[in-house]
Amino acid sequence: MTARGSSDGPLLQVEDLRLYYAGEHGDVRAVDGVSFEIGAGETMAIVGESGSGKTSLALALLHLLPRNVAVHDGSVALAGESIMELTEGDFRERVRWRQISMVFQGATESMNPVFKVGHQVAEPLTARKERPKHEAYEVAREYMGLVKLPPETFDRYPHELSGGMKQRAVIATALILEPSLVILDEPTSALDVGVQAQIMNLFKRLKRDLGLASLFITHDIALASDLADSIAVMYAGEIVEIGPSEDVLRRPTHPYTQRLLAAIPRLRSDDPLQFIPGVPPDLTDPPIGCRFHPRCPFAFDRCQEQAPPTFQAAEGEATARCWLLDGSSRAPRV
Amino acid sequence: MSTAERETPLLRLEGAEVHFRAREKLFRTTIVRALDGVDVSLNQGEALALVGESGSGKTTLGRVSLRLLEPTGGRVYFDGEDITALSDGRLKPFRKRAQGVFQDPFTSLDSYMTIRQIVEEPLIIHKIGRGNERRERVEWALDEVRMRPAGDFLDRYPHMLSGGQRQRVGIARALVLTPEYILADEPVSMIDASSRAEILTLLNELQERHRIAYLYITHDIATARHFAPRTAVMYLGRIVEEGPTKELIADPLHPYTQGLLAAVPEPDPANRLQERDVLPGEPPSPAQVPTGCRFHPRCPAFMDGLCDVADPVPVEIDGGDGGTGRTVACHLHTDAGRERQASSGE
Repeated sequence: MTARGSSDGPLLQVEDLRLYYAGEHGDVRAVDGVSFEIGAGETMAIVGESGSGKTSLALALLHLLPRNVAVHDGSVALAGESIMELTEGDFRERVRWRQISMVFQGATESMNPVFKVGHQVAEPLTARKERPKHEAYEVAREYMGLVKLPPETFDRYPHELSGGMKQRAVIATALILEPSLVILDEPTSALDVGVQAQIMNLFKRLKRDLGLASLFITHDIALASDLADSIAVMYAGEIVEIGPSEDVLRRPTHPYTQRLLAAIPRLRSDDPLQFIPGVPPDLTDPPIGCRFHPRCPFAFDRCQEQAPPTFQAAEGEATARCWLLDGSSRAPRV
Repeated sequence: MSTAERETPLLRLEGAEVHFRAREKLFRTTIVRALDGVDVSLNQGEALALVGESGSGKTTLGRVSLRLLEPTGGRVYFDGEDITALSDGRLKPFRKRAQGVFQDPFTSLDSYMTIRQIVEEPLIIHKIGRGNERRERVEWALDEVRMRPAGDFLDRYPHMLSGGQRQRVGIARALVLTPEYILADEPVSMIDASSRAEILTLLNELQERHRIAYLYITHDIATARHFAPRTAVMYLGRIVEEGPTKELIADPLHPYTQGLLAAVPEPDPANRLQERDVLPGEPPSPAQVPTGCRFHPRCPAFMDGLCDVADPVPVEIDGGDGGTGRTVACHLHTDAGRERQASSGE
């Protein structure tokens, strides 16, 4: 197992990705023009509330689409090669799981209770019938060791494993075809804090030792900081702020990011908790102008009229979609 | 607790114990010690956080405190009255004064009932008011949890609301009886991080306005800091450390509390650069409680021949400025353990 992804350009390049679902009252614009890049061996976190479109983004990347898809377009390049136009057959053959795999939210609940854990970890190999079963099992044992599962768990059934061990098995299953990118969708949401920290440590080790790149989807910006080199904050189907973790966490420029950070109960600070009043908008009919304006304390006329383009933050490398950053509009000091 | 104020606690659990039999093999049963001798005392209008991981017994303790579960040992007092073994019928006055808000706002509300019906139901059960009066009271409760204007929500169904709104309906349902005690069992753990602060702030405001006592059950010690002045940490059916929340966070005494605190992520870009110090393994099953100190197999400060043999009794710790009301059950602080440390240090 060697470091993966070594080309010069970014490993994953996403431009203007859209995924709309057909609904009774018009299209649900779950992912609405999202662009970002992930370098080889890097982790980008997608942070947002439920309904912000972060899981839809993962499904759009993996072409795991429900029947009621209305729009699925944009450009996605993996190691320089465009993968958006591939047929389902080619995509399944070459990309899904082989190059981009995913740890689904609540995946431990969907393990098959009647098969042994090792058998399930080996499944991506056995299902492709490329190797004899005993070889696939050998590889599965190797990957189970990699995620620190004791050898005897190979012959156990899922119900005999703790939550943390099941999650490790799910991670081994996502890694077994040696993808260069793994999408982690709330990979610790069902786990206790102690086990969560163990799993996050495991991701850090995989990143360091295998050069594994990841897209880490979470609603918890504090948890995102445990792994992410860069952070994209998603709101109502759009990325509203994106940049290196240092910039986004230390000098957030979008009012939504600022609120998101202020809403986190800190262990060692008595700052009163702040929260974001209101609820995220209906994605069939998002607000005109900036989608965050109905909940934004700094909103002014322009925010209700025109959607803000992407601006460079005053300091650092982050960019944000917010009129406050426009030099020409009189921005109230945040 | 100051000695000057000797009020009767609103809620008191003494040596509360919930053991039950589970069948392991066809002819063999084991005893599961979900709750294994716990003392808790909660005054009028006070908030106590109960922090622990799954299997720590915190939810069982909560259920005992509402007498949804009858303890197999120990006693439960509410407002001085022993309610340990009261029948359902005789518990009814208590049920009016003690309510619960639960973890999952998606399953704890009946999806076939409107918001009005959900919030009104406790009034019907307790035969309080009628017609207009009930309607007013339901609207009052919704207004208290900031579902405003209440009229907009009355005829909606739970699925039409966000997670945070649903949880506020759950709080309104508890509040409509104007209880003195509310058990809040992980009320924010299934809600987005961004809405957690809103629910916690709301619960705090309600406490001030209505002098409600809370038992706040959580796995997230950071929320405890912002919610409860006092915290008890549970591990495998026992309270292992208790004290003022801020002191407990600033200077945790029990190695388990220390491990729990080290696991909490704070938004800091430096986090990604190093692994966290984490406790090894996972808590064992309450069906197989280790001998001696139940934390010893995972403890970094394990003392052979002591911790695996003797169950540490809770010790009161003097904070230096007189009683701080801190207790810890760990051999690092018992006489036997201190002697042992002194002799090994020589």
